Amino acid sequence: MGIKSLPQLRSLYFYVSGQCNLNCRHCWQHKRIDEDSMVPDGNNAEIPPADLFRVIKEAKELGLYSIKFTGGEPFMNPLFIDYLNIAKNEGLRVVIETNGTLLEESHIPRLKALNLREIAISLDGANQETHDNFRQKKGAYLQTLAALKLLAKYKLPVQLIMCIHRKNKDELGDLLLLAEQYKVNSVKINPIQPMGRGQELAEKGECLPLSELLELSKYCRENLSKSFSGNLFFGLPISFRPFEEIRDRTFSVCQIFSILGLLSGGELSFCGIGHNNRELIFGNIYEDSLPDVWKGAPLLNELRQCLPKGLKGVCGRCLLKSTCLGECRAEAYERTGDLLAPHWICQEALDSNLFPTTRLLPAADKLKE
Amino acid sequence: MNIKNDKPLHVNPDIVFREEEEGAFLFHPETGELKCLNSMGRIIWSMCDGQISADLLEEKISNKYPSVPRDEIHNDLITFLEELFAIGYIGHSTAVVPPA
Ligand code: SF4
Repeated sequence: MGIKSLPQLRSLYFYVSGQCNLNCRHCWQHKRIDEDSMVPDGNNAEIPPADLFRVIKEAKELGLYSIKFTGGEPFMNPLFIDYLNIAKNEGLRVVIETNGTLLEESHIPRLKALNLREIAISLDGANQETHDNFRQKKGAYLQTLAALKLLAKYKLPVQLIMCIHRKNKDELGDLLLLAEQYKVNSVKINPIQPMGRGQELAEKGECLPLSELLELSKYCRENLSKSFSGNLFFGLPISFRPFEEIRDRTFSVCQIFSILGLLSGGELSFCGIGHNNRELIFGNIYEDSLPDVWKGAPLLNELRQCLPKGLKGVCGRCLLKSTCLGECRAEAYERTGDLLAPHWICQEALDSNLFPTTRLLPAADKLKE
Repeated sequence: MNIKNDKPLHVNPDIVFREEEEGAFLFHPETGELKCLNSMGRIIWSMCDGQISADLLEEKISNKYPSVPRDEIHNDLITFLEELFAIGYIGHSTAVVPPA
């Protein structure tokens, strides 16, 4: 791929910590978290702030505009606040993904000083039992609510993320009431991805079938979103969205060409997928220059060449593939070992005649007929 | 090259046209490019049958929407057609057009 067509590196996804204080039943990065949790306290090598600073400087030369701090749980890393300071000083737009349980009032001034797009907080139910069972930690619910209260008090922008499954789907309405109470800007409902521990949930039948997800998403759009003052998103691929949303682009898709994952050990990958699949690591900030990796990593260039043209299955036949790029490529790889495999939801929809036919091209063999 | 208002227009048969409730998609199978048409765009695309010219299109649309000023219809129509013409989604055909 010529240098001219090199995409800008707009966003760094920084997996701040390989550790987590919860034990969530759907976690897709549990392998790395389980491994890191075996290491005795204090032995985990956090990225020195000076190295993060260097990486950000290099990335800004490539167009860096925003940074997402995620994990594991970012607040598990004692250097997290130092990292935030760097993001602030470099003027980056910041997103933080956290379970909220470790947030304290002492963190607020630092958060207030950021160019903060949002803090995404996970909440998987409108009552203690549901949330704590799913997160497998007693008291997590109350700690998360305390964080929401703090963030509301200091008027920080919050997105609530709810993973929808059989045992919490009836709490959606109440969860939105909580969201109103804590003045959150938006709520995102995510189906559970059949990866990591989510695969076990799927096997146990705890995930919702596609037909139910589609019904719920419609109910959210046509009913719940009307009574909720913030934005309500349902995390289904764009093929299931109404035409106007596609036309007006009122959706977000993974910007895989312009993001880079920085893992807690300094490794570079597409995103957190490198935690689970070491073969998808294509560099390391202690050994490689970021521009060299961005420009020359074979895996990155291969993906740039093949997406969206090389997408397989339903994604290869989808009218929206240039916009969507097959949604989550990490999930496709985790499930099949192929970065170009079709997205599971859309493929399942096609196989069960639930895929919107106006958005589908004839199969290649049909075209030849 | 610009649209000639009295020449018949046809759509590029390679472009995939998919009607939706509120508009339509135009998909270019080679480039993967997707365009979204509003309801009026959908109607215009459907009318470009290789026999109709821009003048005739304007006439028909004006008859259908008498409350919309003719100037407005003319400008919107020409802008829309020019854009699609420039990227090869529509072209001129050789059919003879009846006068508008
Ligand atoms: S079929 Fe693939 S490309 Fe199309 S919307 Fe679904 S995930 Fe995206």
